[in-house]
Amino acid sequence: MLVSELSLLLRRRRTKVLLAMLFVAPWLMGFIIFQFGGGNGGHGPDFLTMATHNAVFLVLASVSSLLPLLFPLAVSLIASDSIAGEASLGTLRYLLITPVSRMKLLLYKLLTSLIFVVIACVGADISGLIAGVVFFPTGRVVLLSGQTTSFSHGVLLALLASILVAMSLVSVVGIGLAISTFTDIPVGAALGSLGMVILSEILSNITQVRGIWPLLPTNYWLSFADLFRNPIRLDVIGKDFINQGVWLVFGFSLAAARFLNKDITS
Amino acid sequence: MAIETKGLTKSFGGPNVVNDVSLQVPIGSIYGFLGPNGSGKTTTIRMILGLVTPDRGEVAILGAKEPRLRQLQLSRLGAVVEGPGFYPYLSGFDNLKRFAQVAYPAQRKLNPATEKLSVKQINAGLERVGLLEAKDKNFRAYSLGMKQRLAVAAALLWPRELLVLDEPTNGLDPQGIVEVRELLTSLRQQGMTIFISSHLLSEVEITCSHVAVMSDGALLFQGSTRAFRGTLGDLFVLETENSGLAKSILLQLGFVDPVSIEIRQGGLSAKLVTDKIEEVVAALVHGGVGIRAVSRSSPSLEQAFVALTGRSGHAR
Repeated sequence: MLVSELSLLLRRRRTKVLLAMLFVAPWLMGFIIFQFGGGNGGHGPDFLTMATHNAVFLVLASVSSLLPLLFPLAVSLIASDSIAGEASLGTLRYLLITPVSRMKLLLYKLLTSLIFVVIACVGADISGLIAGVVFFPTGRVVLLSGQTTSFSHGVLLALLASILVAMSLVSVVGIGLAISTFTDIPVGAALGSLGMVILSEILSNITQVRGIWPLLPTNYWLSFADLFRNPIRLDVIGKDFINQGVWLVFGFSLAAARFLNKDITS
Repeated sequence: MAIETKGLTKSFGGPNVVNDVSLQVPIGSIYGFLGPNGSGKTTTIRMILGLVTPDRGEVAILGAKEPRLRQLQLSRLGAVVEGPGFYPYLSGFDNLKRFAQVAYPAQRKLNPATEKLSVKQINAGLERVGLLEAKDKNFRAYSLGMKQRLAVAAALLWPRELLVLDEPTNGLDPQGIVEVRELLTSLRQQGMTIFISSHLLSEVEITCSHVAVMSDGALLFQGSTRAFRGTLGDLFVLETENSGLAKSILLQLGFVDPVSIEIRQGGLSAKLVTDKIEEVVAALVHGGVGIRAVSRSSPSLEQAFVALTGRSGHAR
């Protein structure tokens, strides 16, 4: 059944377009930096300038620019389509009159969205690595904490970073899935889910509500950069892990509470 | 009973859409579930299939009442609910394959002998509804009739004991309707119970052994098709120049239902309350009525339906 869900997802033109967009973005980024040089106006680590010195940092430059909007957009679209998309096509009722249980269907939908997130992040990462090698020098990588390490170790760290980025998007899957069970209109669900991400990003810039920052799903999104320190700093990554896990469990519980008792009238 | 409901009641926050509906669908029957659009048929079907939870009442499918057991029984049942629902970007074949894949693990769990559907079996399913040639076309490109037939094919993917069809001939051309009807008849011969809802009586009339009539959420009638016709008496039609005289004789002798008499150009018609039509004719002749023609006809389902619900294109 997982095979069925995945092939259904990956055969859709929309999914392909989303993935293509995420995979092309690092190339665009690389080209821009290659042409016009680095510099990011002084927010956080300047991955853009670093990319001009080493291919590995193009991955970080592109991921940190994709993360606030493009990744959540893609993940929202896919996760919110889980139930609402089936409902809008009229296929939901036919899935549910097979002997498959609602809980199982919901679990498979969750799993499918999670796999999409991993494919998107790892794919964008690999695409960024290739673009980096094409545009920029390879060689020893200078870490954020100042030490240097081998290029292959740098590549490994970049791949690990993509896994952490995928982990950071798990909250969006949870939120998207939950909203997906409340409506039969997939676009509405996707906008709702993306709206939550944007709201979280806005709140995380308002210092008056600093108290709730640790609860926001986007709060620890740049924690993957901590991989590029020696020793690797795990505290923020750990907080991100817990934060994302809580949002996922919350989102899934809400989705289950709604979906298991829902009257299917679509 | 293939399907049995007791006191099914549902409202979606407003007035009851379905009110105290108790159905008994015998095994082996073709059961026509009739009613105008909006009479609660689809909601009842959705409750039977577990898509909608009733506010009150019970459903038993093939003897299983408890929800979890009922879930199991879904593997013995195929259904078309409120029109086809498929993925527009997949071909007819891939759509069937998708539903086969989703259902397989559960089917298998319930019946370990279940085998994965082969390409051949899916093709055979498509052939049964005449879609084999169009199997690689995207669902999006199907005509309404083809979509409807694909839904029937999906309902019959696995061997079934019970088929629930909600308006299965909607959008089909007359040829398609005939084909569906033939399919249903052959399925019934294989021992399948068929529950079919429709707002078109003529399509049900030829095939159904049992009939239930819904109106405004309530069940008005349930029983064999013959019993349903019997709710109306036979119609007596007389062609004569002496309608007035004939009417008074019929009334005087109590042969017909007084309110049913209709006098028209060159004759009259009335509902018979007696079986002895010979006596009626003799009495008329004896009374001096010149008879040109006499006929007696069973009412159609349409007429019985209208009499019951008071709804249709033409008045009673």
